[in-house]
Amino acid sequence: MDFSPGRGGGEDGRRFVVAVNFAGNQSQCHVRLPFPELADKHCGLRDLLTADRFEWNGGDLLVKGLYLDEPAWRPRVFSLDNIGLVQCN
Amino acid sequence: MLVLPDVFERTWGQRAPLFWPRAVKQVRDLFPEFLFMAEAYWDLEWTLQQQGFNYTYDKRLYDRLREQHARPVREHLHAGLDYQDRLARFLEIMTSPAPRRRFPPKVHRAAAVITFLSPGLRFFHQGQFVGRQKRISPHLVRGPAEPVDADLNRFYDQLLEILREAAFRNGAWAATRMCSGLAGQSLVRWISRLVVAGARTAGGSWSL
Repeated sequence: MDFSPGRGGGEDGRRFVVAVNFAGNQSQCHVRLPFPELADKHCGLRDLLTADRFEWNGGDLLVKGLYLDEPAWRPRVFSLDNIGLVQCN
Repeated sequence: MLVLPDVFERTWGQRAPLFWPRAVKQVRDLFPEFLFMAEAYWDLEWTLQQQGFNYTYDKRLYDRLREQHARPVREHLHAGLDYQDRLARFLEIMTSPAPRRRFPPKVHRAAAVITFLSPGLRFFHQGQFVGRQKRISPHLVRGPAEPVDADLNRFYDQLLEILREAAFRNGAWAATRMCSGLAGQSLVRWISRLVVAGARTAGGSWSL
């Protein structure tokens, strides 16, 4: 699917990934992320619903996708944050 | 919906002239900010949007969430954004049965994240944030006291806080694809969504 970004607003430049295991069983997948600017960056993912935190290499995220392994019906709302030495944005 | 020419003809056996484009224009000439929202069913959402309605009910998403199957939900979220941006998305409406009969608590949270963090207008029902179960007539203008569902209330506090993020209000959105090498049904059970601030992505386009 193609789409044109820039529908206005969002001046803070933050990125979010929302993923929901909409099933009554544990599920796994890799999610392809359209953030080529994350290559060679170190990124933190913070789930705004649980405060869980994960760290990922941006290159791995782009090549392999974001790996998720979640219990039944769990929603995730990840904020992709800058976590320090190497900025993720 | 009932005065659309095709529907009118099926109901009354005679053709009627187009009503909504003319009516919408006349109202907007007087009140340019007036918003039209249609309680639309029967796959007439797009038709009504084209005839001037700002928003139409997204009963289809609601029905698919109730069925608790991920694939039809995900397919719905891959519709064109020109259509999805004008859908009013909801989990509770006046005519629906009591909330607990529609969505068990865990499913409710999953369905709420899909419904309210997708494109379109977010349409919340009175009492939804505190888990009211009794259905009352809107004409009654009062209702019985009910205990607050504290867990659900905390969840909606979180969700509303997330909705204050600029990206969820004005950012660009795309439904994602899964790229796992893993096989099996689990992969098709995922709903994924990206919200990206427009300012950070200006000047390019993404191919997903």
